[in-house]
Amino acid sequence: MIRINSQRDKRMLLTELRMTMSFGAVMVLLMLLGLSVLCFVFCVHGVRVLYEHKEGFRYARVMYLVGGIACFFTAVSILIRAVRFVAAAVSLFGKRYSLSEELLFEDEGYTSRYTAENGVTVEGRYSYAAVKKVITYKDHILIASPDQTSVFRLSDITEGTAEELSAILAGKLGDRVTHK
Amino acid sequence: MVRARVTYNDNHLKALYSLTKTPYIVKKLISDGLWLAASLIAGIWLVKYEIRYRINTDYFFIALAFTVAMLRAWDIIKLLSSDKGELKLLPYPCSTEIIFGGEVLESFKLAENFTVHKTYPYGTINKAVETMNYFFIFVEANKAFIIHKSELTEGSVPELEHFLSARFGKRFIDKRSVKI
Repeated sequence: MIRINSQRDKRMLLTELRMTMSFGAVMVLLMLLGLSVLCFVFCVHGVRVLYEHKEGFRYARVMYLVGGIACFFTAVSILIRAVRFVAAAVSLFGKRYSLSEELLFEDEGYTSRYTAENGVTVEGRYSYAAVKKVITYKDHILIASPDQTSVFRLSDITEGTAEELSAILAGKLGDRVTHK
Repeated sequence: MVRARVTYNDNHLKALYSLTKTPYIVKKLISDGLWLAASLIAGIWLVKYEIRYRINTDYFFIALAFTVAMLRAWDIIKLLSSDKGELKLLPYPCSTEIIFGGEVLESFKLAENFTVHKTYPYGTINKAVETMNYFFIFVEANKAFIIHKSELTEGSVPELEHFLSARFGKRFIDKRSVKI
């Protein structure tokens, strides 16, 4: 049996983000922001065109007006998402974050226990077949299972050794382990 | 004490979507409707321009405008005809036992390869809603247990109503007249 007392803090959170964020996810975020900027540019352009061609085609004026409003709504909705994302990140990193999680690795599976700051307690018992993926990064290990993702350092092991844990993970999970 | 055992299926998703869909649909319709109008007007205006001046360079933009209009129209049709919105069942079969009583709400998620036991102090729960056929316990703003009244395995509907009303006060919303 291997016992781990993981103390999750802000630094751990950053490491977790680094382990889980993929190149694709970052690109999608950047593309969304780019799209939002494009929509705003089109809005401004539309207003300018409407002003400059007051006497122009009726259809063109209506088109620019409706297109501008559509772009405005799209841009605002994307920006709201971006602002929410940034606000969530800022509040997450701004407030005190400390979570104490206990993990027990046995032959058949592992158990995770923790109490969130609002008093919600969670105890999950997972067989190794349920584990979706394991990511290792430097001395950190992330285990993603349905409903629960655990992160810990090898130095958090309080019973058993890192070699025993590596042997269990390699033996039971095989190609579900990724080394970053 | 009141217990319920829930195995989520499409009917649960439809019920939750019916309860929460109005703001979601309105938001999507504004954006999609404006884009549809803008691209249709743009397409029609470009065709008129083409006919009037016999210029052959705008075919690409005409095709683009009508393609965007078609895609947006398809989105609107999907949005209005969907009965589950973007809600999806969990990718693994599981049942959840929910226990009302004592100082915390308890849930046991039972799946083939794992079990998760969670306890929620009643103060942390966002709200509870009762409709004609369901109880919705929103443990977070966008996370809910959906219990059909026939899924109570211990205790009765009036008992649960009384319990929720006593525990949640104003956070218990009575919508029994709503046919969900």
